[in-house]
Amino acid sequence: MARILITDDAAFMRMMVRSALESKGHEIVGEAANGADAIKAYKQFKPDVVTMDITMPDMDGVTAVRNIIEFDPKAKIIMCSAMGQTVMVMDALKAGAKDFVVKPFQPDRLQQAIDKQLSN
Amino acid sequence: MINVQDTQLKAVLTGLEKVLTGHLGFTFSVGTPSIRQAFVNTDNVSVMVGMTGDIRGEIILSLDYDVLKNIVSTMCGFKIEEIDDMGWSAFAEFGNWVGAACCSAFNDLQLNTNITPPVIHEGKGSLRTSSKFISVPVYASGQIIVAHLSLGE
Repeated sequence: MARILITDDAAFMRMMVRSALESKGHEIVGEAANGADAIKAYKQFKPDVVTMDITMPDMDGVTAVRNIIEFDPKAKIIMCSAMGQTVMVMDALKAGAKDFVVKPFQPDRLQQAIDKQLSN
Repeated sequence: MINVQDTQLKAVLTGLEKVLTGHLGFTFSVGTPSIRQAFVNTDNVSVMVGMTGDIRGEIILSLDYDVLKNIVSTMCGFKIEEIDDMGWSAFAEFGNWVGAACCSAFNDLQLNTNITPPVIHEGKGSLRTSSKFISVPVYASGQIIVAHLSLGE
């Protein structure tokens, strides 16, 4: 079981991710609607894993990843975005994200990504 | 040489089909695009996604409430009778998925694009732009969604 921070500007997606992960026994320790809030929430809750959207107002997800990694180089961040082009994936991974799940996702794919980080 | 208008239209239709059929399971067909015009009338609800990069402008998807309820019901996995805050969020996410799928289609043409967070407009109205629109009706299991594109290089 992991303590997870969910980041997505869409309340609908936060609900879907929460539902997918809680059904697998994980604990959702916080939710953020943009990258800036995700950084604050990371520092507050120190989750085991973060799910991070890319396209968000105020601060995008890749910028938030850079900031969180700067704060905690061991942070485990899984991008969860509809923008699945190679250049987007590479930018996110270069910023420090550990995996990339394209939306809309299958719950098993997201779980697989979480499991991989927990086993590392 | 790429005809920008054909490129835009094909990419948006590819993106729409990917989401409506691939993700949501609707059948998909395309109506006749309208000639370019400086303003368009929108239906009860619209979701607008900005596009940036090699292709810039807006993609607006306009539909009526019944179609919206069907789309949101499909996204949620259960029947929605009224659109609440979560329903509006789902509609915004639908716009996000379509915008992202269009970016993916542009990417296949070596065009690098990105999208802005979606904006929803509720209520019938008119949209105007100096760069004009291409409007194309698509049918998701017989339900009409009109895509208005105001895009350029």
